Amino acid sequence: MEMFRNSVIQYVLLCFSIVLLTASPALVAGNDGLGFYVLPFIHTVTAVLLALIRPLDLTYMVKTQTLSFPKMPENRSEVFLDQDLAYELFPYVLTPFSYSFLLLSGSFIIALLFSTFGSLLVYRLHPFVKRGIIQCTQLLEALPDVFFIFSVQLLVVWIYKKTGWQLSYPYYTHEDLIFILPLLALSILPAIYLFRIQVLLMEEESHKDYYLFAKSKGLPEHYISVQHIFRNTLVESIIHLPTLIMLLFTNLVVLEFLFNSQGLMSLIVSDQPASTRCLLVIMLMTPFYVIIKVTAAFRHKFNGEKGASQ
Amino acid sequence: MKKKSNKRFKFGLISLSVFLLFSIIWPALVPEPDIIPFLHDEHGRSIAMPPYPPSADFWFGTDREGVDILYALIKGAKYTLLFALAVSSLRLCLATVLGLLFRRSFSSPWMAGFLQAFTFMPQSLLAIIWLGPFILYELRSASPLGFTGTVVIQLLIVVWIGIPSLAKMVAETADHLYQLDFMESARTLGGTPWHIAKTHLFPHILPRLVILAGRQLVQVLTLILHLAIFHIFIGGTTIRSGQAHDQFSLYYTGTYEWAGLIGSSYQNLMTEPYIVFFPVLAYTLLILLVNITVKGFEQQAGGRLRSR
Repeated sequence: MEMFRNSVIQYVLLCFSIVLLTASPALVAGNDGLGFYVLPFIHTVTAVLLALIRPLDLTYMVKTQTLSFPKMPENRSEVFLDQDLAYELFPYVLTPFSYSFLLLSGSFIIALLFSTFGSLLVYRLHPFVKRGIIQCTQLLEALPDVFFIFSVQLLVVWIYKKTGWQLSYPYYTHEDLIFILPLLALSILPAIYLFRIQVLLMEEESHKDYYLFAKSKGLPEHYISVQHIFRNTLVESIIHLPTLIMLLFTNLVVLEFLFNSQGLMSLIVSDQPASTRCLLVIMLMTPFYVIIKVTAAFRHKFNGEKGASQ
Repeated sequence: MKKKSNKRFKFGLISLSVFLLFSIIWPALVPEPDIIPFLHDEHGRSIAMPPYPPSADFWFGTDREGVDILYALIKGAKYTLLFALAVSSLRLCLATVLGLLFRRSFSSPWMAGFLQAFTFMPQSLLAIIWLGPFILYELRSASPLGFTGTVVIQLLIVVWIGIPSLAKMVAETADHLYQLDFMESARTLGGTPWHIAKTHLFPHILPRLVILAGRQLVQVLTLILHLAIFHIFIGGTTIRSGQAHDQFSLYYTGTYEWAGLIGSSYQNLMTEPYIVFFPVLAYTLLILLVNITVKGFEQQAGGRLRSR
């Protein structure tokens, strides 16, 4: 119960800190250029907080350029008029939200599945091969997501050129809300990360006493690995969940832009009022915050039952 | 095992320095090749115009303006590397000071709640939101900041963004060290806080800080790349227009820094992949090298640090 209360308090703090962060550009950029603007910043923060109370009134901005012809006597030329239009956020934002949310959770699940099966497979391999695989993943993990995104896009086009079979459009269009490719590109890095963690943890786990005990009892190797080692490492890998989710969020920013998709992150990145940005971030993060806290509570309980130290 | 990783560390470090030196020296010796607007055959007929695909003349091809990509890569490497190095070392210095000064408050649940925001507001997103208004100006007007101003503000913001989470890491490391047995005895024997910090904490925390710095370098390089995808290049973005509508704006990097080369040309991915893919490959290679160096150092120091 106390854990629940703490989580709620932390959630409120987290939301407040997101408010501060989204309002923070007002701290340095004012009407007269660079500077340090404390009062405007406080104004912005209160404005965001007030706006968050009534989320249905929030708007999002769209920049448009319309072709127009200025009045005559001057030379007859065409110019583009810049316009900022504000629309109501609410029914509209649900589509981008569900798109981004599905991408995030889909990649999360793919990463989880891949690392589960991958680590169980690798576990049985020769130690030499295993070490090689771990070192490879260590190096791959640092590669920029942009590299993977470009590779996936080029690969699809290359396959299409060679065989005439199109897996999917390489870009998002209004007719075709592509899903498979971004999902693939988004899940590569988290999958590698989680896979490495799992393999390392399983390796560590198999040096513990209970493994030796189970083995000397004559239990078959696959039974021990699935029933005991895998379960324990899965619980241990929960500590790395926040990092995994940060990885997903970071990659999503670039991914949506590069696939030209109309997701929530591209909306946040585009020129929006602070209150809108804030609400969108909170919307997107809440489910994942719940996941982190629930799994952490589960891990706590699991370790408590086992009587382990931490 | 230990010897091998040492070798790896040396290999990474040496090749990175060679990269850097080459990038500083080569452009000083060899002038930038002129842009060739047309290629002619022996009868004087023009047979090609930029972008030229990779060939014996242009090893990595040229971009749409005719800029030789290989030369641009060589010239730009130093900006990317030096900026990333500057950011990660500044981050580390500030974070160490803050983390050690406010070590206690970093472990409070309040702070944890606050800092968790950096999990969901990734650094790339924050940097884009902050830097966008400074770097991306309206077309047909001039950039509001000069080269130095741009670099300074980019440095400030990119450094600032990483500090809270890094300071927390430093604080946690120091906390862990302070709980070790020898610290207890040092306190019992009456060492002053400054003495303890100097003689007992510092030698232990230093290799860990170097490892953190290396990881920061990889992180910063990725961050720079993300910024470049949103047309925020180190040293400023030059915006030119292909046509009247802003949709056709073209973004150029003045310094040829690597991320900028990628960011200014990724629209060409489907038509002329080599314009984008050589810089992307180079960037990937750079990150790989940094990573090899860091991992090598980690393994080398690993024997001494095995107390986690």
